[in-house]
Amino acid sequence: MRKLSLLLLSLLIFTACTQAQPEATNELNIYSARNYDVDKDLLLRFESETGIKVNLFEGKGDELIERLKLEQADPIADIFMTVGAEALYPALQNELLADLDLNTAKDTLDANTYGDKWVALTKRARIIVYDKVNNPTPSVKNLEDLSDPQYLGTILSRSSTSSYNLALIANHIQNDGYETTRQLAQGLVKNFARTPTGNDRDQAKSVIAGLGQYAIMNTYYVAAMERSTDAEEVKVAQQLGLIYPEETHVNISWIAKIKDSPNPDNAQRLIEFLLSESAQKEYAERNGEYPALNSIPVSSLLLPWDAFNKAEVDYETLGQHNIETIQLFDEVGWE
Amino acid sequence: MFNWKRFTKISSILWILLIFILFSETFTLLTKPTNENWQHSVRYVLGDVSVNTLIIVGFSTFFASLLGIFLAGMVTLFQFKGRKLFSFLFYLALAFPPYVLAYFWTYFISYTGTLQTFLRSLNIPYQATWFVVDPKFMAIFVYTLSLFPYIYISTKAIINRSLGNYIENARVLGYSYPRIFLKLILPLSLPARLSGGLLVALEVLSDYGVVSYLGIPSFSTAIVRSWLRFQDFDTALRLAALLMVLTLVLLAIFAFIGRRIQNLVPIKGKPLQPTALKPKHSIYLVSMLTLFLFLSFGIPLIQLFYWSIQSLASIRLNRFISSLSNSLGLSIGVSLIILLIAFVLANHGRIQKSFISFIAGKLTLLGYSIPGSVIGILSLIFFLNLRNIIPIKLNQSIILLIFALIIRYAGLAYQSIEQGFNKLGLRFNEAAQVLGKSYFNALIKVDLVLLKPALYSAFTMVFLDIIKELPLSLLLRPFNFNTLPPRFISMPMMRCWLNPPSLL
Repeated sequence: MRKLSLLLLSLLIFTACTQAQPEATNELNIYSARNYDVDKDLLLRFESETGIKVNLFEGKGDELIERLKLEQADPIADIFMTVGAEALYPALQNELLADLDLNTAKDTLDANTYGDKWVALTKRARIIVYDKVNNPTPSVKNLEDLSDPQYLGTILSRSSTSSYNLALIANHIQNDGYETTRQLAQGLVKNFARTPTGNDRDQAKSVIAGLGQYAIMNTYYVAAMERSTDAEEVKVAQQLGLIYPEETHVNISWIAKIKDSPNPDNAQRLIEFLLSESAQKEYAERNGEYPALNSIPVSSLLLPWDAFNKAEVDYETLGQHNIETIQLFDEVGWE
Repeated sequence: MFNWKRFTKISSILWILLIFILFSETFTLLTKPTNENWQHSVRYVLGDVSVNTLIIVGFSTFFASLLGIFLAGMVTLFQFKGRKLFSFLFYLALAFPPYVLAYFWTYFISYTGTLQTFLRSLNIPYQATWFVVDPKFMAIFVYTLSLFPYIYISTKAIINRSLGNYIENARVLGYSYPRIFLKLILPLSLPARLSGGLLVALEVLSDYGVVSYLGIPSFSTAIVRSWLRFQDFDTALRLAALLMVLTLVLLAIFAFIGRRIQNLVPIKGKPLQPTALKPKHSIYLVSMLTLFLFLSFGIPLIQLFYWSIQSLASIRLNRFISSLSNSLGLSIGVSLIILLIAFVLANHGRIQKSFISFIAGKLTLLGYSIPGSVIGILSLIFFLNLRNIIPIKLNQSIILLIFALIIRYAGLAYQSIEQGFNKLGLRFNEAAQVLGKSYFNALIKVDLVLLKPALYSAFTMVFLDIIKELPLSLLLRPFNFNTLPPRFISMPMMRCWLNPPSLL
């Protein structure tokens, strides 16, 4: 009898915990791989300004794409936002996204940072960092230099499983072809100071610790470390020198409406809100990103947007190279 | 009239059919031609992945065994102040998810971490290379620390219950304690180490959080990568099939050794009386155990607590509380269901040792060795196929997550309850039957009471594992049903969220 009661209790707990499926009321359902504090604060502000209740579901980009595919016949999400352009191609190929009307917002954006069904919220450059104090005159200008044998045992990078490295190498394949990129990656891997481990911040710290001379990382981490509450991280950021490669790879964090979603009008309002000047300022000031709106100033640690040369990139087809990029990583042994 | 024996037999057959249908998608793939991704994986990936997996599983099991036996020996052989407290605290190591320990220790020894910052603040010269740790060593270290309780629990039980006579005799004959350890405890606790070691091996095999964070190519990361990055379901399931074959081989090896040593020790002997230590030795032992606990768990706990205080302002309490209540509710409820299923299955094996009970047991354990993400995929396919027969939105409901959790963790409860039944034997039940009770009546009124320790142990282990479960929660949780592990991993400034979930 007691066991039966326990079983009934467990069923009651499920019922209590089970959430009802969201209906098309004044709500907005978001699948987001942008897991930053600034995003949560912006969403709270959007909620209070518009009265639209935001339901946030967080996860990693590729997992969320998988969920969107499975739910395609009956979508729950209204908005999908993520941190890498490599997810754009699978989203478009699987027809997950709805048409997006950007109106006059287009006029303030770079031409390659929006499409018919998506728009970039922010941009991130993938650069090379070094120790300004112990290596005041670096002789490196771009990734190709780093693949030279003279830099044996000096390069630090995070794992090839990182979507940022995936996009970086995919961009190179897109512009230079598979074989040239393979040789570049092979050279880099031979020069690794250690097996890739940790995230971008760890690479920067390892440069300052003297475990390597150059590290590959995203610009927004440098700015974020400089604002960190950890005093040691701030010291590391202040000691870092930045090298923007001659053709700097720029990745985007983008947002889109989901096709046939329950609340498309609310989704449109959110996108307009996040592209507004005040929201874009938040991305720049609090997260160290290059905002989609070029008029917004960025962290003083970073070069202004128009002060460096960007590599050509077609974001809509970048993800087409995902599979051969991963195969390239395997072939050159970039773990 | 309710026939319990028939009920357990039918339940076992249905369970086998369910698991078989669930995994059949994987095995039918093996009959189809391979694609380019698979050929690429075999050429460039499979070697490293297999070697890494075997190294990490092997060494983690080995070191967890050493640690588990040593600590079990200390708290059973000797009487010292705080013995019961230490005994309890060693159980608590199970509450630390391995991925939390991996995050913490990686941070702790990093350039801006607590250790190096402390050394720099005192101007103590050091080389940064001293703190560079191979990710595989870090993985083995955290798995050992978080999983040794499986071996600790079973070894402690067997020493207390079955080795009392031997140890007392050895003491009387003047054996030194190192000799007692090496000549008696080590060999005679093999059955316990085997069952605990199997759980450690299966849990390491299926783990995703640690190897993913440390960037170690392993079966679980390769499966997820194939599925999500390559968008290649075929290759992901082929790798999963390989992993299942590896698991079946492991289960067969453990079963073979288990059969050979099943008569090694009596089921029950005289309870062991711990020896009182001299004050000096007592102090050494207590200091050593305290140091171990402090270094392994005390430091992470203090750091996590400190971060918790720091980030109190940024914790959105209402969402945290909702995640917490979701996690607790789900874990308790699913654990109870799993307990019930495992109880029925183990019971069938007890009453009738047949081919059905053997297969049911092994298939149940199989689920425990498969990464949560794979169980997630298979469950999704299963329910999507089921939707063609029963038109309900099952793939979007919490039933899917519960189903996947049951398949994943039934093996853990089954193992514990099966062992409980083995140690109990049938004599109490048969005695009750002689006095006129039916088997089922005797089971509920007599056996169940004596089985309580095994049931509590099963419940605790399953509960703790569910509450730590990452991949299944990430993939299958219903919209707006956030549980703690996904909330934890989605914060880039992990220290903000690191604390509350693991402090639970």
